[in-house]
This record gives sequence, structure tokens and C-alpha cells, in this order.
Amino acid sequence: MSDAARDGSSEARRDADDGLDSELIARWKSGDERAASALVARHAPALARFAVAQGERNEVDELVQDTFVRAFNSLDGFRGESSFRTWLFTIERRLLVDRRRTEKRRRDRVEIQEDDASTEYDALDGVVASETERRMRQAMSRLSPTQKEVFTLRVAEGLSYKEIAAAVGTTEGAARVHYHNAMRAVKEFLDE
Amino acid sequence: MSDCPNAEVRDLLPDLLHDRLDARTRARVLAHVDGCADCRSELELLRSLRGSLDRGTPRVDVNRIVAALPTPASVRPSQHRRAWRVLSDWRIAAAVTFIVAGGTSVVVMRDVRDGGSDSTGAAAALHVAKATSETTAATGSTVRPPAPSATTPPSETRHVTPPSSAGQGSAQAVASMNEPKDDQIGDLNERQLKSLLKAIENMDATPSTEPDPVVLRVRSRTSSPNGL
Repeated sequence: MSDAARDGSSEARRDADDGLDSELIARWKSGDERAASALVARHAPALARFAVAQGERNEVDELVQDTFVRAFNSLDGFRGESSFRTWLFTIERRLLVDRRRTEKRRRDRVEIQEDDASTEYDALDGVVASETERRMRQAMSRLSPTQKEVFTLRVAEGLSYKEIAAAVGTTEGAARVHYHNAMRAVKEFLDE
Repeated sequence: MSDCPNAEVRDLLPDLLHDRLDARTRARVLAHVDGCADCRSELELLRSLRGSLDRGTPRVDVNRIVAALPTPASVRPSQHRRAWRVLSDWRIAAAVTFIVAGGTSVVVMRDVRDGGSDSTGAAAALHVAKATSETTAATGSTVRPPAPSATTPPSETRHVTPPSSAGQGSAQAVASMNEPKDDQIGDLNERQLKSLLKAIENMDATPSTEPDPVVLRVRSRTSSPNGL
């Protein structure tokens, strides 16, 4: 349904975005280092949003930087089967998982439980302008990790279910289910 | 906050928010949203969530990230990797050649064993097969050469009608040639060959009485001059 409706001008715009990324990658490969600046400027904010939505707070810059370093080191392996941005999300997601594993081992503590997750945003609460916004963040923090990933990519980045499935490593159908379950959970929390 | 029963439109709300719908679908969704309070509130919630995520994300330092990136030259494949690729190509070519040569020798061997008594061809095929087996042994492969013609092939039973009594001697002479022997037709001298041809000419075409069928065990793969 959704993907079928995204034809015409929106798909043309997406193709143009992918085309621009391909062109910038080709320019960088041929030695134009300014093309790297353009690629980072285009995608870094989205990667940072994704990291924050997954609970990263202190080392967002570092995570985004590591994602780009890894991506540029393996650009030969990028075949263009997905968009460049989707590929970056895939890399960032793997880095996040690795970091959490390392952190878990180092601190010898269990991963943040769903009940504790609401405190995840407390450090930011001081800068949060409104009560509504704080509640929204709390609602998001209560989602399961996969729901959080899917919901962020759909709401904050506007990715299609197909792109989300490629980034998160699931199916389109499962991504759709995760999105709607997440939306229901957020609504229920806000209605409490 | 309740859900609109129109699941299709609800599914498209994030695409509407990011302006990723084609003009016709966008108009249809907007028309629905205008008249649906549930979809309006869900769209508003999506907009707030997006804004909230945006505002809660620190600004990343693009220049610092770019400074940490590798240079295009540093990520090119190294000489060592390229040399390894060339070596791999040669290995693939050698493997293909080996498979083709082995397969050809097997086909030639089968052809020679099935088709006749071309001893020259058989000898050549055996030579190729032997060479193949030696190469196989050297490379540690488990491919086996075809069995040589001297080994015992599967026997089969044939019902033949013996000739009349007048021709029995000749028939026996011919049948005896089908028995497995180490001597081949090529080993007979000229006089023996003439005698054999004469015996064949003296054979009766049809038997004078209806005989009991006898069973002869013959080697199906043994080449014989009369083609039995």
C-alpha cells in the first residue's frame, strides 16, 4: 500500500537523492575529498537522530564518526542495492549493538530494562522545553529496541518499510507490524 | 487517542509528513485527514515526535568527522591483495583445465569401450586416463579414473537359438569366440582367420528343428568380430 503509493514525484526525488550520493561517492573515489564533506553533511544529522532515539547520549558524535569511517573504508563493498543512507543506518546499528555488548561486559550489568528506560532521558529533561515533549520521549523510551529502531526510521526519517527492513534486518511485513505496535504503545502511554 | 479504522491512510501518514507521496495519493490522504479527527491527531502526534527527536539531537561536527575519514588512496586494494587475486585467477583456470581434460578422457574411454575394438584409440584413452589418475593422485583429489577394459564388466544373459546339427560345429566355433579369452581376434594368424571365416560361411541361417533354448553367458563389453 504505502510503497505502491510512493511512486511518481516522490520516487523520482528519492532516485535523484540516490543518484547524487552515487555521484559524490564516485567523485570521492577519484580523489575529490570535498565530496566526502558533502556526503557527511547530507547524512550525519539523520545518523545522530537515530543514535539519540536508541538511547545514545554522550558519544553520539563519536558513533556517527565511526559509522562514516567504517563506511568509507568499505565503500568498495557498497553495491548500491540499497540507498547509501540505508547502508549507513545498517552500519550504525551494528556499531550500536557492538557498543552495547562491550559496555554490558565491562560494567557487568544487565541491559536497561523497559521499566528503567524512562529514566534514560532524565538527564536531558533539564533542557526539554515542555512537559508534552518529555512525555513523548518517555513514551519512545519504553518501546522495545526493535520497535524503537523501526519507529524512529519511519517517523523521523520517513523511510519506507522496505528500506527499514533492509536497515534493521527484518521483513517489510514485520517492520509494518513493529511500527503500528509502537504507535499504539506511544498513544497508550500518552493517554495514561 | 483512538485509531482511525482506515488502516491504509494511517499507514501513509508518515509519508505525508515527509512529503513522500505522489500528487494523487497525497490529495486523497489529505482529503481523508481533513474529515477525520483521529488521523488529524495522529498526524499531529507524528509531527511532534519528529520535532522532539530533532530538538533532542546534538549537532554533529561535520568537519571533525571528515577529518577522521580515510583518504581515497588509502582504501584502494593493496598490491598484496591484487597479487592474491591474480594468483586466484590462475588457480581457477588450472582447475577448469583439469576438469575439462579429465572429463574428456572419461568420455573417450567410454566411447572406446562401447564402440568397438580400436586398440589404438583405447590405448590412447588409457594413456590419458592414466595420466589423469596420476595428476589426481598428485593433487590429492578423489576423482578416480575409469576402470580399464581388462576388468570384468557386468555380465548379461542372452537366449540364443542354436543352429541345426549340421552347423553345430560352426556355431560352437563362433560361440567359443564369445567366451572370455585373453586372446583377441588380432592375435589369430592368417590361416586361423581363413578357417574361422569358412566356418561362419558354413553356418545355417535357420535351424531344422525347434531346439530347447540354451543360456549362454557372454561378456557384453567384450569386442567380438561378429558383433554378438
